[in-house]
Amino acid sequence: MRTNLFRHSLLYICVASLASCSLNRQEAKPLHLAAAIFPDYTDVTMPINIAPPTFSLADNLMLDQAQAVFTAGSLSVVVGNDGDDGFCIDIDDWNALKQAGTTINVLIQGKKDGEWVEYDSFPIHISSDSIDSHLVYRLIEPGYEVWNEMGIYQRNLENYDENAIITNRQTDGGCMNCHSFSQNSSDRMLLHLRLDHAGTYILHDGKMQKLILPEGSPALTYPAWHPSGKCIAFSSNSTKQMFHTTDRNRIEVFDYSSDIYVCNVDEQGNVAYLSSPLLTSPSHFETFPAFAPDGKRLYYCSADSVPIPDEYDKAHYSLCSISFDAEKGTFGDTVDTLYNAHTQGGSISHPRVSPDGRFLLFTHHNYGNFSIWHREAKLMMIDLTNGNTIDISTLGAYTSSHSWSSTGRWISMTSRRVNGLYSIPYISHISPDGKATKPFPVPQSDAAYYHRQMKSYNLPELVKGRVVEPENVP
Amino acid sequence: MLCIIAPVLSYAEGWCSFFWDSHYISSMLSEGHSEELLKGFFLQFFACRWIGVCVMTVFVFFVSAIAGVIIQKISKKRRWSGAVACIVVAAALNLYVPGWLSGVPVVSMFSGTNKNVRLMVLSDMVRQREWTAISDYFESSHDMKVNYNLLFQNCRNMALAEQEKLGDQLLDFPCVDIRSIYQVDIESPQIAALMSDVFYSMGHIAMSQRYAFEANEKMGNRSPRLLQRLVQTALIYGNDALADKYMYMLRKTLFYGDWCDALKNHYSKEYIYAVSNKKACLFPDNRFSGIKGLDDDLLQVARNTKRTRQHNVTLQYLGSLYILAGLQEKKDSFLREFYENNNSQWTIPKYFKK
Repeated sequence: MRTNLFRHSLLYICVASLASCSLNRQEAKPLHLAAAIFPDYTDVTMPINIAPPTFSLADNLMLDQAQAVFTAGSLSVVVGNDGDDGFCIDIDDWNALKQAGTTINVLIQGKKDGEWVEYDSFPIHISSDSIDSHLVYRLIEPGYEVWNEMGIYQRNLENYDENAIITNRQTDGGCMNCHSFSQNSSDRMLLHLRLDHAGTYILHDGKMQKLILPEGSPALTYPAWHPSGKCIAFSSNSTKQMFHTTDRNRIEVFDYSSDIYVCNVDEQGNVAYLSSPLLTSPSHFETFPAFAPDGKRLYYCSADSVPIPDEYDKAHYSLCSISFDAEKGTFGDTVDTLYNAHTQGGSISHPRVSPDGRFLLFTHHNYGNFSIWHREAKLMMIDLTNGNTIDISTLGAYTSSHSWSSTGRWISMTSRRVNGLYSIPYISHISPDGKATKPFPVPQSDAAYYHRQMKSYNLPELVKGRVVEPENVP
Repeated sequence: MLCIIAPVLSYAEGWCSFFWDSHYISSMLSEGHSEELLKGFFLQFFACRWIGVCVMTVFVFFVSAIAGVIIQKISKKRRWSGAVACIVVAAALNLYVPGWLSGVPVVSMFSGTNKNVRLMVLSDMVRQREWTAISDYFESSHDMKVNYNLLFQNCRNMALAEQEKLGDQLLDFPCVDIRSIYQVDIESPQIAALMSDVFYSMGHIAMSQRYAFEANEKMGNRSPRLLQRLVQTALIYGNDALADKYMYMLRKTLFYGDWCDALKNHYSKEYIYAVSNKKACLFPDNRFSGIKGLDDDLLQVARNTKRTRQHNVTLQYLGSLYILAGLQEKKDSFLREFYENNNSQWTIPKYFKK
């Protein structure tokens, strides 16, 4: 009996191994149908150094058996379907395909009622522009008030390795947010901790240093590093969230007040505040600061201070800028308006300037400043050399936070577009003249990963290397 | 004994189930949650109570037999083997019964007098929508601890509202104030789950969703009870993709696949009860939940659900809230709008008249 069992097991292993080795492209009847896959990697442009995409069929054809044929140049790789995990191409095969050609064609074939059929093939374009190796993001349940677990994680984009930089298990369950880097460098990361260990910290070489704020100074929220690394702009926001009864956007987050300060930080972490009446006006909400790469201009969003929460949907933020002299610590006395919400409609948030200083990327939505709950939110881009708006509608709607790669050839962004609640990270290529390609979800080790993921990706920041995890978490 | 504690384990199953998914199992093991995994494995069978009882019985006999054999091998003193077997069984039970449950004295499970155990039983009855059984429970209960406890009152009043009897029987039982109808404790997952049921019963879908989400998050996103609610609310809001995400998890369990199939069928009894009947609760005048008072939200629900079963359930709650909050003017206006007009199909409930 025991021998029989052993024999059967051995036979099964042999058959399974043979089956896995004997995948070949089949003569198949064309369905003349585009393959619906999840996540969607059809006709996307990926960086040369990205990990392989995994995906599964998302239609209702219920094929008995399926395989994906990846072809680049003269090289073909056939990958079987692994149930929920989908088509998972080996990383070495993927790298070989990327070397074999700049376009990888993917053909999905399947067996239906004993007959092989195939979908229309789709291309994956490979760009020679590489992307920064790591993506840093916060993982948190989407919205709501009583969080359980959250953390700031980093993902190596060249493979599937993900590890926590810091989680709230280490900080007695408190909230943490607004991680930020100077010029895509993983060397220094800023973040805020709330509750028990409240404060703003800079993580450098595995050490966390708490910034020492002057007594009675306003709490700090959205940060933006000055390129010199010596000062950081912050908004200070009095924020609250409420829950819609009927609106599908579910949650609204708004500011009762907000101002912008620039903080000079010395070696010991002492902070000195700089400001301008133009950035702290009681009749305006000023928020989302962002420095130009040369550090001479500060971009931000500003709205008339309407009564909140009664007129939350009447807060329309314009996109403004003001000059800044880091040496003298002074601001200009005039404000430029790049996008006037009063005349052009909508509301602006999250301005980010490309590393070469040419493009300004921001989020446009109907009202308010917290775009991540807004289905209509979309990214827009202005060419700062001539002030023209560039069409980047390929990036689609329901987008929110975003960041530039160090080269300026890639952007990362998050979107709730898959299911309206759990945001996932996307990457898109930006050409030197500002053309954006269809964004693709950050590849994961299996196709069902995003189905299982019960947390949202927040603030995806591209950085040039791995962040050293802190040893002295408070 | 197993039959007595079955409802309690059924309640526990609502918090912690086992997902037949290699990624889930490996992540639980790699994070050192093997004990949680084991608990979930056994508790999952209580989604079907009689299967749970059978599996438990087999497990207890199996552990007892093994323990007995081991004891007999080690010691020839047969008279001790039974006692030791009992200890081993108790220890094994403790392994897969959640920590908060193992704190409940075993004796109280038999006597049924422990407040926590009774709340678990009642909460499970709420989950199973056994409204008549809940009413019967309170009619036969003369225990002051039960009758004056706010959570028990919430359960009772929900059962009465669902039977459209709340306005007739509200003050037949002790009530404190509006907290006898609903509470705002969102920190405790147990209470938040119950409040999600209460808001769902009222027709306040946004609040029901919010409480279910918070409670599920606190339970590590592994509560089938709350995932079911999140599927329902997602479908009510017309977000099928989100419902599919939660269903993806539920389909990884042993017993919830059929429920998911039922909710995919728009003509099924479950879909009509849980989704179709509730869609009208999304009234057109969007506002922030509770910003004009919960009663004003419910007023909108009542106006928008006319000619549905939900309408009278919401009216039962709304009138009772006015009574318990002492809002006489609002109550009079409510009576005029919904009862004292020629088109009204309802007779004024007993306590709304006074």
